Amino acid sequence: MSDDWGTAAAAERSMSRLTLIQQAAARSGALPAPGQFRNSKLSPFEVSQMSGVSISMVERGNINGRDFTRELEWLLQETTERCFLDAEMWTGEILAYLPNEWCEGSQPDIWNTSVKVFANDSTESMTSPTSSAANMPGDVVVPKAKYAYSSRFARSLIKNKDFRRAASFLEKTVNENRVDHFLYYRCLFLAYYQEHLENDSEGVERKTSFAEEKSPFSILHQRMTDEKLRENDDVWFEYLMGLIEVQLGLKVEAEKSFKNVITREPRHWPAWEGLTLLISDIEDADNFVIQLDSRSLWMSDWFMVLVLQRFHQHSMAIQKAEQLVQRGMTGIPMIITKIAACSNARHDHDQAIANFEDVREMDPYRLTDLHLLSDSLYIRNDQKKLSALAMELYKVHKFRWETCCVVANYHAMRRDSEHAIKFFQRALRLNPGFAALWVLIGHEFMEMKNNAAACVSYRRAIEIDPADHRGWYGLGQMYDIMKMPAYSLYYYQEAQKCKPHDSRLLVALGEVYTKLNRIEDAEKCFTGAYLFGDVEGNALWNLAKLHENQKDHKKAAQAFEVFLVVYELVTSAEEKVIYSVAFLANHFFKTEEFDKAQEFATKCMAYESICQEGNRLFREIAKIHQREAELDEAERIGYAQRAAAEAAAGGAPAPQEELGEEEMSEGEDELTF
Amino acid sequence: MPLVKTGPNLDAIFNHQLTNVTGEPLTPTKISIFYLVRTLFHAHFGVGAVPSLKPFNKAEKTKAFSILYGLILSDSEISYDDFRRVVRMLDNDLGRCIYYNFICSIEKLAYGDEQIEMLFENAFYTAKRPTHIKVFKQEQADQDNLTFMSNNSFMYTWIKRVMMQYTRTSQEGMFIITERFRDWVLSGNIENVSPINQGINMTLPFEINCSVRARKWIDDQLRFIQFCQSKAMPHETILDLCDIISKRHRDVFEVNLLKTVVHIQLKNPPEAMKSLKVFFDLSMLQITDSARQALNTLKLMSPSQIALRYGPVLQGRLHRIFGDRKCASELFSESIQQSQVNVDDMCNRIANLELTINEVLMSGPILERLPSDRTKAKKQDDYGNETNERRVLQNTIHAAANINIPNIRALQKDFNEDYDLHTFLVSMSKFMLCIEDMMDGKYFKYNSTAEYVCVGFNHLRLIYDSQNKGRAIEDFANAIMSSGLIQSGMYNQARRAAEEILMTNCTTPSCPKLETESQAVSGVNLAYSLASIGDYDNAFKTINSLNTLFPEQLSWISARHVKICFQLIQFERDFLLNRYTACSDHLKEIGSLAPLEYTLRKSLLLAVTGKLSEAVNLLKEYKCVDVRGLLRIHMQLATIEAAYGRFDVSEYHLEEAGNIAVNTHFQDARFLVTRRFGSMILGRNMPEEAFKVLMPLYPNVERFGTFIEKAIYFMSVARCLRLLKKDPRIFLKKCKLQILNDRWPSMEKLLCSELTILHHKTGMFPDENKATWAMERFGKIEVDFPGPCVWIFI
Repeated sequence: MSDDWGTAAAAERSMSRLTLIQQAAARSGALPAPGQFRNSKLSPFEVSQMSGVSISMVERGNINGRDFTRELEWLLQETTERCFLDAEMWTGEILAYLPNEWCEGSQPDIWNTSVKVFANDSTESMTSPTSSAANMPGDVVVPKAKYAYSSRFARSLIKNKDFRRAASFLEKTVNENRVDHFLYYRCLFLAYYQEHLENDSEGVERKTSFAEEKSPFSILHQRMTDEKLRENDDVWFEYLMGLIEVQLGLKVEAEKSFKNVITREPRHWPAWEGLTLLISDIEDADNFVIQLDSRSLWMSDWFMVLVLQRFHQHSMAIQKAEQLVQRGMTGIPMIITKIAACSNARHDHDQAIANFEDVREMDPYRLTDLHLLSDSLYIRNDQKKLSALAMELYKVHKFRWETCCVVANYHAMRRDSEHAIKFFQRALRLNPGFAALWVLIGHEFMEMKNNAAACVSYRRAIEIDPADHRGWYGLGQMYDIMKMPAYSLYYYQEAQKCKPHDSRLLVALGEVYTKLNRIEDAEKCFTGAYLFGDVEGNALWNLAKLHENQKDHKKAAQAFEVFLVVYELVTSAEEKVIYSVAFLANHFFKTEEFDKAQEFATKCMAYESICQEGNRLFREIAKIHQREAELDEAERIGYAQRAAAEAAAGGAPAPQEELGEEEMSEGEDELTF
Repeated sequence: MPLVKTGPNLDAIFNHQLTNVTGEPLTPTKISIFYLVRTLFHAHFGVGAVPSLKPFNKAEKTKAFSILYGLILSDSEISYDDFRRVVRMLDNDLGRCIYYNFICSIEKLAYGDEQIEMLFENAFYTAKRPTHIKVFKQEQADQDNLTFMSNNSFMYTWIKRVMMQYTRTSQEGMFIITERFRDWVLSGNIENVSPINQGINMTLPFEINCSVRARKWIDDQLRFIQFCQSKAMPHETILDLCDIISKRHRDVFEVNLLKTVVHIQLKNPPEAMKSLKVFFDLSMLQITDSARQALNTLKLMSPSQIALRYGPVLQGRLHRIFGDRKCASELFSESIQQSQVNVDDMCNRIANLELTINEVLMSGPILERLPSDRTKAKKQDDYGNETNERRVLQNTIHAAANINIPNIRALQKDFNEDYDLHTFLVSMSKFMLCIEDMMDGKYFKYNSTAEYVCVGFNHLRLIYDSQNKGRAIEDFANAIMSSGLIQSGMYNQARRAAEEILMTNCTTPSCPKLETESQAVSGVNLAYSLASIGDYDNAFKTINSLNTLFPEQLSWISARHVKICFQLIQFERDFLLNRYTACSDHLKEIGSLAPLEYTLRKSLLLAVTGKLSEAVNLLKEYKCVDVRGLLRIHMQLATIEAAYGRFDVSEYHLEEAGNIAVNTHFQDARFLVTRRFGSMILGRNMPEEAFKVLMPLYPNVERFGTFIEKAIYFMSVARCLRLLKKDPRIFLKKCKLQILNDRWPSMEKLLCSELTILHHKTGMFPDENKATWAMERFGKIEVDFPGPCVWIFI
């Protein structure tokens, strides 16, 4: 009976659609239902099927603790020496959270190598023959020790952000020491950078900020090229040139430089990090990683996590990050936070909150990404935790943008939009390049019913990051609320372009199409939304309602059936489930598929509000069966078979059908949500 | 004191919208002008508390002002040496040590003795000077209104703007200016002074170096692109400048509107849409236009719902231009709904009008609602009409869109041109009604359209036509009128009308020479009307000049018309000369531009080359909603069938055509059908009946026929007469007149054979000389234009 969908070509087509949907149901069963913890593991195939992106997911063996430590040791050493404070901190954090078992094995080794290296570099190279040869005859001979002191002093200056002065000291020792040689250029870079930022901030004060021309950078770049520093043995020169190219807006060149650096030295995390922001697509990143082969112990994987996150492939990013954990990098806050951030983006807020809380337990003063925790808490409406978080952070870090964001979310939850906006604005001052803040400001303006301001805020978000789907979505939603679906269509389309596999955007787009009576497009959107893993569970429901409103009951029934398969046990969808059951029972009754009608009528009995309906259907079905039985009997008695059959098929059920329809429409009214 | 409203401070949040609203980028020259003004003030008013003993008189002031204005209005920097020369001239006229004082003040700045200070000394405002008797007397005596400081004077505004810009310049910017100023003074020329490359005083192209000028520039370009392409800057340049504006002048979001228009011209709908959306989204927040409210709330930004209303209108128009009419009409409805919610009458009208225009266009392939095919198989003559009409209609769409676009500018600024706009909308709407009637072939008098509309545009003429709306709609009306005339077969009148439009199109102070679609249509109509009276040379001349006027890359919308026209006329000419290969080449070009024309002619070609059934199928399969198109299709089918001797089928089609013709007001439709009917009967060898049918048509043919139509008619009548044993010579002569200059060799051959029959020994008027001449002539034509003489009749 269940396969009896009809014979027409149209039915066949819908058939294939149904199988598609069912396959998808099976597939999306692999994903944890929204709001539940993930315990099943996704195969890479499944993930790539859903996102439409495929990358290599090679399972690699556990990380060797000794290699791992050595790698980071090297990086720490290099970054400390070259005053890369950020990278030093990054490395230091990981080392500080090194899993215990790895620590024990490598402890003595660390001290040996590191001490040796340090001694080598600062003393040996300073007294190397090349450096003394650089002293021209006739120069006043400066005692070597003085050089050493001056280069030490330059380092302190760098740490204190006095770059110009540091550069002028380093100029003296450029030829003495290869690290100083590098540091000299780096100081110049930092000095230009700082001046550039200062100019910019002066502009902000005066409310006239323009992206200024960066000519000093190009001069520096030219100078380094002239001195052939890219080809220098010291790989850090090439990295520095990459940084300059980023400042000059030469993205392609910068990408090439960073890739070169990594190929020369796969342990060079700062280059990896720079590359995450420059790489143009996931496949490109993947190919690059594959080509590096296994020369990179784990940084390539972490790099992929960041790239995947950047391109909104959050599920895959989580998976990659979890692989790292499995390979031994347990308890590292950086990884846990990243998983939490991706969970937040996937709207798996419980998971996100749990992970963030783990990190906060380990390291209560770590602020990175905590604004996402506040976002999750806001969405879960957890007043208590959010206010506690806001208070704690505000006490210790008033002027970090993350704190401002948390406090803003706290105000938003209290429906104090005005304060929320104030704090978002403060966060924006501290971190002007962050598009999401403008989106949140826009949302708050929407709360305040100030559409115009909301509109401009969303536009700002898009200006900062044209690929920010939330900005587009916000605009679409705004016009939609103004009852201008045709006008909002463009924005939903743009949003969907930014994130093609997000079911919520597809559902929104589908709803607009429905309003514009573009049924086929709407259908495609809803089906697509379901196929890509429906986050909010609206896609099937909308699809079914769409068909129902179009009086296409057969298709509606198909969609409702799949809806039931997926959501029957989800409590939050109970009302919809009830409606679906009632609809299906009536539908199958009307189409005379009594077995199925009975099945759904039985289901009706499980819900108080429609058990009456179930009973009624049972009675109707029973009546029909009875009549059929009577007819059979009549046949046996000897009535002309044909006449009887005709009466059964044509005459008898017809009144029933009408009756059913009438009742149905009544029921429908009651149950329309 | 009114309370300051609480609430988020939009000014603070979206600040940079406001940053550049006024201001004049500082340059060394401008600083010098400022110092010169200050020097003059000292001379006129006095320094500090000491009043000047010798204030300027009126003549002196005039001199001072003329030089100052000259300096201010100049759009380029001048060097210090030149500046000194100018000041010396001033000094010669005015005396009072102006040169000395000025140079002193400037050089003090240059050598660092003083710092640039773009202010007037406090004493100037506060010092209580005794009203010096002389000052008083002088001012009284002259009653001059040449005051240095008056709220409305250009110079006052300019000084304010310079001062404001200076106070807004960052510290770094001030240092840079000081440096540049010193270089400028010391070097004496401008080449050695490097331009300022950062901050709000950055050197930009003059047209857009401050918000005020950028807005003006955008305004001008918008108008040029719509009215006079050739005066606008090249599209790439505009886009480049737009980029600079959107980067430097954040408050000038009108720039996105300009980008939209340019992208439309570049046939790039996605980009156009993108810019349009940005424009309307950003204009949701505007600087409040109520100074009082600004004072009360201490806030400058205020939300504006205008974008909600007009956004959909323009987006809809965009969709329509690129053919998505369904989408467009949804958007128009949304605009209507918004305008009703916000009680904006004007917007409501505009949106309704747009909706009407759109619906007129949506009710089928309107483009195809063309006039007739009066031609018989061979006859192709007046494509003119039809094409024209099509063109016009097409035009309607675009011209309507174009014409309306000036409203856009209204959006940017204010809505105070209500009366203007209102009148415009009214006449526009009436217009749409006329056009709809015309498309149905129902109008009452041939020039009713013009009459109808002239009521509207006479109103427009009476008011101050600041945005060329009157001109535009007048042109539009005339273009439609000339098309209407052609449609009715009044070729000479059409020619005159079209010529008039083209002649009167000249530059006036308030608007440039128009290069709108209406102009293109008028031009094309001129060509059609020339072609239809057989004057191909002038027709092609006209087309050539149109081609230079409307090059494809400048305005594809107009260029389309010219292209179609060119191909059609060429087709017609070559067809008459039996050059069928050339004909099919011409057709290739217009297949997508004008499907109906293409179908009609293609089938004609097929029929001529013997592919009868293909020709018939092509015509029958073409779905035509247009009245005139249908008429033509039936007539052509009749013609083709008749040519192959299937007279009954032909008769059926002619009847159909006749039914259509009866219900329309086309002047020529009836005679076209009847003439074909007559020719068909003649083909059946029923000269008597044919003559009865044909003869009464004579006046109409004379009035409305094209030369081809006339030739065929005269030939038909002549043959009737011959068969009826009457004297056909007068008609043969008339026929001959129509086809002079080898325009239609096949017809001439036919003519010769008729003559031969007539003058043959056995003929009605035996005349051996004439018969021989006719035969020789026939032979000669046969050599020049080989090809059988079939197809002549029907």
